[in-house]
Amino acid sequence: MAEPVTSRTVSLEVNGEQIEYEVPTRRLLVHFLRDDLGLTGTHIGCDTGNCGACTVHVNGEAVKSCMMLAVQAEGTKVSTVEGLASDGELTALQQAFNEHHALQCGYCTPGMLMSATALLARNAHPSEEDVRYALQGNICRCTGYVNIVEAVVAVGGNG
Amino acid sequence: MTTTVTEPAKTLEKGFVGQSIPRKEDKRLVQGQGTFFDDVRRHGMGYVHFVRSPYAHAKIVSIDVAKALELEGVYGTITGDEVAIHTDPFFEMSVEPGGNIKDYALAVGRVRHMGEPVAAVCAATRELARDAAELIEVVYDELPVLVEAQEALKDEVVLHDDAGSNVVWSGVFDWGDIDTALAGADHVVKIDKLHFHRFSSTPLECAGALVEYDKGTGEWTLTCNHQMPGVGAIWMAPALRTGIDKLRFVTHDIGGGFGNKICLHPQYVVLCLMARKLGRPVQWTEWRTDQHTANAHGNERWFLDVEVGVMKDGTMTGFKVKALDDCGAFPRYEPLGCIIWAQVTPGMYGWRNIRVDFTQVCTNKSPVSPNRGYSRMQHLWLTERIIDIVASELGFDPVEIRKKNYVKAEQMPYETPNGCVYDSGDYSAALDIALELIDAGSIEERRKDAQSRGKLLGFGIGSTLDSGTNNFGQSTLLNPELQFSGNNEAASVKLDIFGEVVVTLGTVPQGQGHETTAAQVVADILGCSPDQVNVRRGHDTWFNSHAGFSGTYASQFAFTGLGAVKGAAELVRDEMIQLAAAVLQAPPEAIELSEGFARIKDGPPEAALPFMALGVDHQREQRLPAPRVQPDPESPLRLSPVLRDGRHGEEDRAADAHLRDADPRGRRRDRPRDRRGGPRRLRRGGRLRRPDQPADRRGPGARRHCACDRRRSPRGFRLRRGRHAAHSQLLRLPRAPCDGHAADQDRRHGVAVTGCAARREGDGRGRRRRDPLHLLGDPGRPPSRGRRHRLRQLQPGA
Repeated sequence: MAEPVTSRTVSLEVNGEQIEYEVPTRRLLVHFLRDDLGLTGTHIGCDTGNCGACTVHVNGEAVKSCMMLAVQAEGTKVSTVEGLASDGELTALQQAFNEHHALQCGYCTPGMLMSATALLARNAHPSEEDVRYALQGNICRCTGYVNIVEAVVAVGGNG
Repeated sequence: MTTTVTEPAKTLEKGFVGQSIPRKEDKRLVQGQGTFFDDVRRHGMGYVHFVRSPYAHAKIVSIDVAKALELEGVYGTITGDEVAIHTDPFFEMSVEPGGNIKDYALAVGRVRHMGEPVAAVCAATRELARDAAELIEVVYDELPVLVEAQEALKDEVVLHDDAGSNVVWSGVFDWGDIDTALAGADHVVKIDKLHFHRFSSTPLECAGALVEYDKGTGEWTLTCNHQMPGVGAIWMAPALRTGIDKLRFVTHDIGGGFGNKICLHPQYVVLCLMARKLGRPVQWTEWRTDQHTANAHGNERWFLDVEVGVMKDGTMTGFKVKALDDCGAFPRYEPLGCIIWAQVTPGMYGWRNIRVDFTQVCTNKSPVSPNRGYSRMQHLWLTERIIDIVASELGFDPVEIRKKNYVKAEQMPYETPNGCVYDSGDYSAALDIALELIDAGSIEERRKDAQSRGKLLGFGIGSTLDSGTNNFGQSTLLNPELQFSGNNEAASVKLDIFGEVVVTLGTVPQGQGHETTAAQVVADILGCSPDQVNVRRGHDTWFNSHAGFSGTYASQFAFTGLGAVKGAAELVRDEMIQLAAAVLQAPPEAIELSEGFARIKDGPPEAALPFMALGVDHQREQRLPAPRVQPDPESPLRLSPVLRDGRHGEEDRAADAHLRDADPRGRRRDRPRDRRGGPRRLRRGGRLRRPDQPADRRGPGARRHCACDRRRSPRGFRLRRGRHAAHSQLLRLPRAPCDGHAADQDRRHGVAVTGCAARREGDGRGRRRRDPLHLLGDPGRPPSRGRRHRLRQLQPGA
C-alpha cells in the first residue's frame, strides 16, 4: 500500500489574493488561515463546529472554517473578516455593529459579521426572524444577541 | 442601628461620562485586527498539549513518555514527577484541614477529577502535540469516586490524604437571635433540601498562554488571557520558587473571562517549566472540550434544613440554614466562597436573625473558580427560594410578600444584621417597574394562550442586589493568618511630549470596554475629547502600573479601577494647571482645561496653551535634576519651576534650551540658536569643571546668590524671554509692549497674560504700537525687581 499523502499544495484565492501553499493534508482551513496565512481575525471558539467564530466565506457562502480541511478549499475563493473593509473604510455592517454596541469582547464578532454579510448578500432587507435564523450558528457569550440582531436588521433598513 | 450619612446623589456635570459614545475598541475588533493571545507567534515556539485523566479518581501507576519523544517534531514532555521535584504545591488559603491539601500543577501520584492534567507534551505543531499526547501511556488504578457533597462529609473516601478529611473549611455565621425568632414566629416553614447546581460561564475564547523564559534573567513572560494577574502571580511565584517580579503577564484583547480565567495558574506553571526546560517559547490553547470538562466551574451548593420564621402578616423574622458547598477536587480560589456570600447576607430583605452553618468539601469533580456572581449568586438564589416557598406554603402572593419583606426605601441607608450598609434603593418600586415592563397583569391570559399552543409559560421573580468591587479583607474571616486586606487597583495617566494623553490600566479588560470608559473619565478631567486619550490595550506587568489585586473580576473596574484612573487623571490635571499657571502667569485657580487647551478662565481666547505645549513643558520639568529643585509641599507638581535661589540659574537656562529645541517654530533663521543651555548643563554635571571650580562665574560670599553670572547676558532675563518666545510663537500670542519682563508687568496689575509676544505682531522692534488687550499698564520698562521676586510669581497662589 502506498504511503498516504501527508501534504499537498493548495491554490486558492483569499481576500482577492491568489495563494499557493503547501499544507499538511489534515490541516483545517481555519488553522491554515490563522497559522499559515496569519489571518488571525478568524477565531476558534470550540472543537465541534458549534460556535461559529471561525465563519468565513467560501465562494460567497458562509462556512465554518473549522469544519473544512484546507485542501478542500482548493480552487475556491475564500474571504475572511479582514477582507470586509476596504482601505480602512468599514462596511455598513461593521459600522452598525459599532453603533449598536453589538460586540463586547469581539471574539465572536468576525464570525457574526461573516454570517450576517452572507445573509445580507442574499437578502438585503432581512427581518429580525431572518437574522436570528441566519445567526443561529454563531455563539456570543457577552452580549445576549439583542444588539447583534438589531445591528444586522438596521443595515437592511427594517430596523 | 448605626446609620451612615450619605450626601444626596450628585447630578453629572455635562461631559463624556454618562454619555453613550462609540467604543474605541470596536474599530479593530470589527476588522479582525484585535490581538488575542492565540494570535501571537514567536520564532521556534512549540505547542503544548495536556494529557488528561479519563478517570475521576485513580492512582497513577506509571507514565511512559518514551514513544511520544521518539516522534519527530516532539520537543519534550513534563510529568507530575518532574513537577513535584521542580515546584512547590500552591498555597492554600484555608486553615486546617483544607490548608494541608497539596495542589500541584500536574497530578502527582493520583488524579482527583476527570480531565485533570497528568502530563504535558510540546511539539512543533498543534496536530503533532496531540499525536504525541496519544502516545503517552498512563496506567491508572481506579479508586472509589466521590461526587456527592453529603457523601464527602462522611470521609469514607478521602481525596487528600494530607488533609485527612474532605472538609476544606467550616464555620458558623450567627447574627441576631434566630432561636428566639423562630420560637416567637407564628409559622416556621421548613425546607429540607435545596440544590444550586454546578455551572460554567464559558467565555468564547478558551484559556491559554504563550510563555517565554529568559535564561539570563530568570524571568518568564506570559502573553496570556489570565484575568487576574496580580493574584495569579501570588499563586505561581512561590510554586516556581521565584519572586513575583520574575513573572510578567501581558494581555491584549481577551475573548471574555467571567471568572473562568482566574484559576489558570496550574497550567501556566507547567508552561513555565516547559519553556525553561526546552529553552523555547511554548504555547498552549485550551480545547473547548477540556474547557467544559476540566476548566473551573462555578460553585455547587446545597442548602439543608432551612427554617424560616414567618408572622401572620407574612413578615419574616429570619432563617437558619446549613450550607454545604462543593468546590471540586482542589480548593484553589476557595474557600473564599465560604465567606464572600456574606456581603449580601439578608439579600434584599429585612431579616434581622440569620444563622448560616457553612461547610465546604472536596469531591471528584473539576475544581471551581469564582464564576460570575461568585458565591453571592448561590446565596441570593437561596433567599429567593425561601420567599417563594414560604409564599407557596402559606398562601401569600409572591409579589406582595416580597414587598412586605424588602428593605424599605425610607430605611436607607440600611445596615444589615452583619454590618453591611446598603446605601440606597427602593426595591418595591423597582419590582413594580419590572412587572410593568413584562406586563405581568396579563400573565394568566398569556398562559392560557400558550397552553392552547401546547406550551407552558413560567413566571418567576428573582430580586437581587450585589456588592460592587471586591474586598479581600474578608478573607481573614476564614484564616486570620492570610495577609490579604481590602482591595487595590492602579492606573497611570501620562501627558506625553507632544501633548498625547496616555493611560495604562492595572485592570485586565475582557470585553468590558475599559479603553472607552477610562477615556471618558480622563477626557472629562483633563478637558479634552476621548479620542485624544490613548488607553493602552490590556495589561502588562512590566509597564502598566498595577497592584497586588489587579485584574478584572468582581466588578473591580467600575469602582476600584476607574477610581484609580480618576485619581491619576486628577494628579495630571493639577500638574497641567500648575504648568499652565506658570507659563500664562496666572494663579492656578484661574486656569481651566477645556477642549484640549489650558486657558485662563474668562481671559482672552488667545491666552490658551494646547496640550502639546504643556507636554513639552512637563517633560522638560521631568528632566530637571530632582534634588536641585525643591518641590512645593502644597503643590502636586513634582518638580516645581520655581527657582529657590540664584545658584540654580543653570537649570533655568538648561530648561529654556530644551524648550527652544523642542519647538522648531521658536527658532529664527537670522540669528544663531541659543545653545548656551546645553554646555552649561554638562558643566554643572561636573564633567568639564574641577571640583574646586564654582559652577558659574559668580564670586563666593554671602551675597553670592544676588550676584549675576558674568557670562550671562547683561539683561538678566533675556533667556526667560527666549523661553516665552517659544510659547508665544507657537500660540501666536501678542507680545507685551515693553522691553523688560512682560510677565512682571502683568503681575503688577493683577492680570496674567503670557510673558512675551511675537515680534512680528508689534512694530518689528520689540515694541507695540498699541495695547490690544488693554491688560497692560505702563508700557515703560518696569523697575528691576530681581530674579527671586520675579520668579515668586510662578509659585501657586502667589
